[in-house]
Amino acid sequence: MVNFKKKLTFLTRRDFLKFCSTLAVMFCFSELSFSDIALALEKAIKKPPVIWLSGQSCGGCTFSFFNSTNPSISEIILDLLSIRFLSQLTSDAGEDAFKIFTQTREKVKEKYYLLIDGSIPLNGKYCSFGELNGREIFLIDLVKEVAREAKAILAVGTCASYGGIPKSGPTRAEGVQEILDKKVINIPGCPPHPDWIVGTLVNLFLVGSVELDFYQRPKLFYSSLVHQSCPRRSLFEEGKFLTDWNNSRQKDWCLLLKGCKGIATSSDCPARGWNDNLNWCIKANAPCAGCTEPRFYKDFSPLYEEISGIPIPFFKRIGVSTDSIGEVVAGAGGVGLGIHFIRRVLKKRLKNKGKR
Amino acid sequence: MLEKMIIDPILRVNGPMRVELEVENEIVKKAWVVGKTARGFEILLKNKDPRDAPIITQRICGLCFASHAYVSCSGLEKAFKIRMPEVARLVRNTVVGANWLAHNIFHFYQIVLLDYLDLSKLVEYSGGDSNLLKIKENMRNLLDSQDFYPFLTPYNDPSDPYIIRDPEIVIQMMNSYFKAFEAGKKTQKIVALLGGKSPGLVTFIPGGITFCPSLDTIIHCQYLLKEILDFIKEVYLADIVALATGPLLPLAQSKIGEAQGNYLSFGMFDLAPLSKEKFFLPGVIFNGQLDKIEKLYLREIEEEVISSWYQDDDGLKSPTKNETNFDLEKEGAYSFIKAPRYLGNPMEVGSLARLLIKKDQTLLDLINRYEIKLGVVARLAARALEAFKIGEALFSWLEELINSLKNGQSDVYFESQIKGSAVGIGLGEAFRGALGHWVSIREGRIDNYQCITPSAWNASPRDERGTPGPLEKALEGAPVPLKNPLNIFRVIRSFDPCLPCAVHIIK
Repeated sequence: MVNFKKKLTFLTRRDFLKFCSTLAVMFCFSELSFSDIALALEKAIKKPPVIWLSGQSCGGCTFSFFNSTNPSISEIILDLLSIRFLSQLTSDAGEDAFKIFTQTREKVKEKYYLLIDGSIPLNGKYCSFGELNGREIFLIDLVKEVAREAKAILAVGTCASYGGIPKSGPTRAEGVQEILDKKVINIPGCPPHPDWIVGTLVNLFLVGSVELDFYQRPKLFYSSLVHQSCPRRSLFEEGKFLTDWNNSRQKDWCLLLKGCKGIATSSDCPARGWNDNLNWCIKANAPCAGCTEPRFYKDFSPLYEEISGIPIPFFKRIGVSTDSIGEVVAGAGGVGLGIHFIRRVLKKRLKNKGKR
Repeated sequence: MLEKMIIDPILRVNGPMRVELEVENEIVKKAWVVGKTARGFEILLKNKDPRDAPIITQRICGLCFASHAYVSCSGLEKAFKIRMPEVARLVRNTVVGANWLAHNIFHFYQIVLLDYLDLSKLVEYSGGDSNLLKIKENMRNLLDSQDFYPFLTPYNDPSDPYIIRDPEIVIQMMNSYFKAFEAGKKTQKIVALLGGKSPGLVTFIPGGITFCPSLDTIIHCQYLLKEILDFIKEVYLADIVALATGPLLPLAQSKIGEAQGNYLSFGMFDLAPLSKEKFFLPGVIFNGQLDKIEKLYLREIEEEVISSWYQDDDGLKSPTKNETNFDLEKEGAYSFIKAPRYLGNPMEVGSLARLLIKKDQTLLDLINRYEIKLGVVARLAARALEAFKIGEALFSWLEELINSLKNGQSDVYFESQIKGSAVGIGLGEAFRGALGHWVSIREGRIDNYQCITPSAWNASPRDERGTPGPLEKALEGAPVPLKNPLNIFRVIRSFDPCLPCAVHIIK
């Protein structure tokens, strides 16, 4: 147990406040003042335990998590989280690895957070976890077991959230919410931004819950379309569309004709940027692939072809209250209309461009 | 007395992995390495637009994504005879090189290092270095609160000869452990500056890249690279050489972790446009004959699936003919990984293979001078050395990039029609070793996509003749005292197997 007050004896008060203030700035807790955060963290008697399981994953989500800047991954390990299990860092193996789950459950009942990256194949054999007492344990069964007593469940990455790329493969891969009858917070992205993961966790510790959208994504990070806050939005309005990557005149033009899925994709990438706001897809002149959406990848292929019509959202989600359904219908309708409208305007503009 | 031993799961490797061992008198006699997950990338790419492949194949592995994008693009460029502009070549080299550095650092510190340290000795550090004292205090806090995750380990064997117990060294290494996170993040920033973001880049497209970097961007990269190179020289390389020639010299000189001595490299990083000259040369070495480097013939690469959960009846197949279909009930099969073979031989791939084929004098000197065998420690040392060499090469590529921009070369993309039918092979290297994408396109759609990844070579199962893969062979002879499987982990982690990568599928 790390007592934050005790820690202050060597982590100077100034350092600690700095640490808290970076957290506040990073995750835009408008409703929380920075002294609240400091108080809440100091009050926390121990670091919240975290178990991170990997399904059919490529490892990209965990490596994105390690890129966290404020707090850095070292600060996360030492001060913020008790990372009980994360396959890229944990030292145990074999049956000892299973002991972590039972120990965590016994010691900190109802208090651990479960994070999962990678999709879960319904046919367990396509992703096996390990062997316990001579019996093969499939990941799907382990997730169900560990999830039972978890305080909150976070699906990290598009694969864990909705099935992602493997969903279009032959292994019947699904998102975590399809196999559990508990509420799952989705943090999609291929991979997700480290701030989205750490920010959601910190928000859970401090407030106890996060507000989710229809696809069970934290509104904190996924409330606006990429298109809405895209820095190239004005070029879109002017009807300037990039057609040739070599043409330096077209350098900052809208990427819609090159297959940009920003008009159908919710994320705060334009404002947040990637790798400490150095760059992001559209800034690098590459079309948004729509990686935070449930429909990624299958319905967004071909990635470099102009997007054509958006399928109507699928209203089957666990834990959606009637209120939020109303909200969602309004929201989805808005998106649908928006796209329709955009396409009409766009066609007109392209025509005008031809005339000119 | 023959005993069966199973370790499942093995952690601190990428993806789920299992190993089965036959142990006699605490020595491994035989080993079986099992890849335990599959996603079916080859199947889901079927009938897709070929231009999607560089984005989608990056998700085969979230670590060596840049190499997948590079090789996937070059496969399509070969298929459609596209010539890439000079700026694109340099940007691609730089991005892939930076991606390698990020992972080489991560591999040694986060994946390998903890197998060699007794962390309980940290608190005995009695020096006065303020940085180290801070680490000591941090670690003691974790220990005191009985919350030593994720460093907690059940393997505390006082008779293990390869555990370092000197508090001074242990604390220095842990200091580097945390520094390595920051260094890795910096290298990923180079990938992000030129690739859009990291992990998962977006600027590589068949025919070139999507943007022309500004001078500011390149100077930013140079500045980041300078800091990273300092870390590699002063921390990474220094740590490895100190360990390899100091406390771990007995391990370096032992036979633990030696494979068959067959090495293979596809070659990587084009040094000039339209030339076959490469920074890492393609080539093959058989049976540890380091002075005899043979030419690589692609037609000699074939894949077997006798031990893998895939349908097949004709034994060896070339990747172009291979297709992918599961058979989970297959008799005798034990892994999702296929068994690629060169002239019927299992081949080791990776930094060690590349440097041996390049005849790198620094590595050869180190090996000869300290009589180091080509096992666990040699692999780790090769990766660190290679990181240093790539770091220096990155400087020259960035310099070249500035020159070509000054000379007015701003073309980044070669416009071409990806239509009709064609066949292409993209070859290159990921940091873990040789990587190939075989693609065939029919009527503008992917008809067949096959990848052979580095971990498929290294962690391959047995073939028809019963020959084990390089990792399985390397495990043979490793001592496993009671309740201490660390030597097994040391061998496995020296190969840095990546299971999501390794697994790929056929019909």
